[in-house]
Amino acid sequence: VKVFITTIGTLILAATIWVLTTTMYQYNEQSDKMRWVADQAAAAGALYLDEAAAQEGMNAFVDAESLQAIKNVVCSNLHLDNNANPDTGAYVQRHVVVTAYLLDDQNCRVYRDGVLIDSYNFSYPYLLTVADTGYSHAVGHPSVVVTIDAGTRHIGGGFLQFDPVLKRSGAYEWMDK
Amino acid sequence: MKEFIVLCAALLIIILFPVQSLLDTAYNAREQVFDTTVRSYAERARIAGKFTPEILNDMRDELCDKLPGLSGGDIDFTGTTAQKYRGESASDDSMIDFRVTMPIRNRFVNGLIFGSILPGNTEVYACSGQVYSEATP
Repeated sequence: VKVFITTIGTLILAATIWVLTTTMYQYNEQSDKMRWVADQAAAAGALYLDEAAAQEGMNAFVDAESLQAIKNVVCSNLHLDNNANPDTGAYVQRHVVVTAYLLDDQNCRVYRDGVLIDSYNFSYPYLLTVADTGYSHAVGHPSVVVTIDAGTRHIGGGFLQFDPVLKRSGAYEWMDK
Repeated sequence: MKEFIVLCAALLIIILFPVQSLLDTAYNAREQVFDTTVRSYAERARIAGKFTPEILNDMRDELCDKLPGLSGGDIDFTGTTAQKYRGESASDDSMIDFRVTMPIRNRFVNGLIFGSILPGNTEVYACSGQVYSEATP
């Protein structure tokens, strides 16, 4: 009986550790994907430059289009609905906050969930550091930086609960093509 | 003697878990290589405006080179093969989809016990996503 009880206890512990390890692998995979999505969102956002301004030698993003492209990429890749809330198949567990930094020849505009929250002037070269993630991007040309914040992901339970953060940044620098 | 036999049997079952963890580590590394490679070809598709036959062939070749035991026939692709252009406005029409899968054979260390969870003890791993086309008409 003693051996049986010890075996059952060990079996439960081993299975718990295995399940947690597998879940952590899944978290790492999703965190990597989120970084890639941030890069792709930034690349999509950088596609929409104002052609009229470009003819006058100024590179300026069309903010509405850039923000829409960023939203499209984030929502479709992370399986979110139109309000950036988790949809079927989403790994994230809550509303995803998307912060976009549009840096062009005019200035830097910071949008959170599509709403302008800050703008300031800068000159090239400029080092942008996203305070939330510690992500740095050297801006030599018009650039878009995107931060995706999905909060924490609950893994495990009880004394074996982990709440790793799902928050990643990515950037794209527009070069004349 | 009876206890010794029971202990040996119990150990045989318990040892499956650390061995399974080892397998998971190996498969995870494999999946990372797969993801990185597929996404780098998604970048090429972004420039071309679609997944061209050349991009798909190169991707299959590189995946087979990097992942031992994988053959070209194992890799399945579904996605955008029709030309997409960068539009004037941000819409889904400019998006290139992709879903690339590969089989992970012998997924569980003991197929007899866990094999019924996955047919043939094989998991289909997928890397999917959507990117914006940068191609201009």
